[in-house]
Amino acid sequence: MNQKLKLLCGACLITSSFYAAADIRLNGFARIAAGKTLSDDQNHMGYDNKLDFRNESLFALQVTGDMGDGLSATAQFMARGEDDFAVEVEWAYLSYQLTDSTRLNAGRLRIPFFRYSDFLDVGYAYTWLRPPAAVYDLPYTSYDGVSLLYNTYMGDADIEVQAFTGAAKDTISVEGAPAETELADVYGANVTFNMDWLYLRGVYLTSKATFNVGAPAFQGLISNLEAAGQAEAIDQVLVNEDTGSFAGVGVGLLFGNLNLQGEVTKVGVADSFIADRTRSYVSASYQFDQLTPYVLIQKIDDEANLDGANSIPDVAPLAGLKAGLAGFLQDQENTEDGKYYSVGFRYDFHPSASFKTDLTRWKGDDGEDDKVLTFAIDMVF
Amino acid sequence: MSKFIKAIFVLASFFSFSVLAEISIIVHPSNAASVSSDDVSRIFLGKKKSFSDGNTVVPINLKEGSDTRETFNSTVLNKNSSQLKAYWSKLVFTGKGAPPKEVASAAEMLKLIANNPNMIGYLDSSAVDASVKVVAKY
Repeated sequence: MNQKLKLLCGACLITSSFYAAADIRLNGFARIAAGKTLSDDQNHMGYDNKLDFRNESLFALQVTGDMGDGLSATAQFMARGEDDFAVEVEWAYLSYQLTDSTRLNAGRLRIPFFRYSDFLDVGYAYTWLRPPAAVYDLPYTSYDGVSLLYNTYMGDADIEVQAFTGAAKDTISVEGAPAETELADVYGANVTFNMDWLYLRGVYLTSKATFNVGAPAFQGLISNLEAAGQAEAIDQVLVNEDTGSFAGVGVGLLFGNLNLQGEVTKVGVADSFIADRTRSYVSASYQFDQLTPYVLIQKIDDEANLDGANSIPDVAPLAGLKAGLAGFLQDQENTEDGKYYSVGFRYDFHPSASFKTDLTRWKGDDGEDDKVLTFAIDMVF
Repeated sequence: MSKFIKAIFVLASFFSFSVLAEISIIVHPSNAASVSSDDVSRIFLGKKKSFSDGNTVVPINLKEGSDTRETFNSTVLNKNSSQLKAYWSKLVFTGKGAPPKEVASAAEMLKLIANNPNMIGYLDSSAVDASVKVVAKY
């Protein structure tokens, strides 16, 4: 056998053994949701008064290649109706089981802000039609970085500790215009304690936040402050590598078929126009075999960050500017505060699919009062 | 008429037999690890990855829809199939775990367990033979 042929055969062997060793798994989930507001001409949670089938519909496919010895690679591709079903990579990571209890994930991962963050889009995994919107209202769902996961148990309780670091980017809407935003140097940890009837969770993370807000109203405000020489106020308003923090706790109690749960989160970005956010919810559900009705109450109790306006001296020529800025900052709180009341049910009509209905009423402290009715079918496969 | 009643009786006893089916948890005959009922549940929920002697454990499930699996789910894991599906979808779509591998039949289960000291499985007690070791019954 000549050298070339030998080499070729060696290559064949290696390739075929790669194929034999890698165990490829395909999983997926999908949601078809339809909803509308019940009022005349307002928009809420992405719906208006015409029945919409796209806003919360999605389709996702996950591919996992298991190389054995604890090493695997996973990618999750998701097409969301609200993005015209354009396919995006929601997760893409390598996972390595370091020991029986420790796993390292690296790549594009979910930021574990909330109890349901990891499977926000997998409606089949939770009872509600959607996770509580007031609390689960942060633009960033994924980050690029690493996460170390440690699992252990004490008696009947499972304990999971997760430490993570990385960076996230997203384009969000600020004052009606798209703004490119970035969370750099994200550091956080998340601890959950879980037994049959009790679930406890705590999470904390910090990051350096930067928002490039291009909205004309915002730019106008900044140029007026510049013209008036109010550099400190500008610094207190712009989000430029300012320290952001997120803290959250979650509690769940299971009494037979009765499930009670709640979460409280606090978010703040120091020296910025962003209001300090306090969001919470409590929920109860009761499982009658295949049917699980639920109620959910959520509260938004933000507090405007008025430091920028307060830094402007109390002198007559600046009074208008000061009042204008104070108004803008106060609006960050006033347009958000309010409560959501939801009732709904989940019906498991198939081993891999459930049907859900939800009626949510939003009562804003600014007088806004609106209802959204939504139906959804969630599937996993 | 009496034939009819007899038929119903036979049918009823068959039905109650299948409901009361006993589940045996099985391992390789050489496996000397102790396996508590908590361990079985943790192993099949992906929370425990080794036997009490430190060896890696690989749980094997019967295929979805099998009566024995349903009984195992409800008596050993204390969950119905949609709760289990929701449980696994939380892990599968978050990189935290994957459900046990499945086999299509009791014969396949016996063959796998009899040949691999790392595996643990379950069968209806009537399907168990001497090629495997029973560590618990439910």
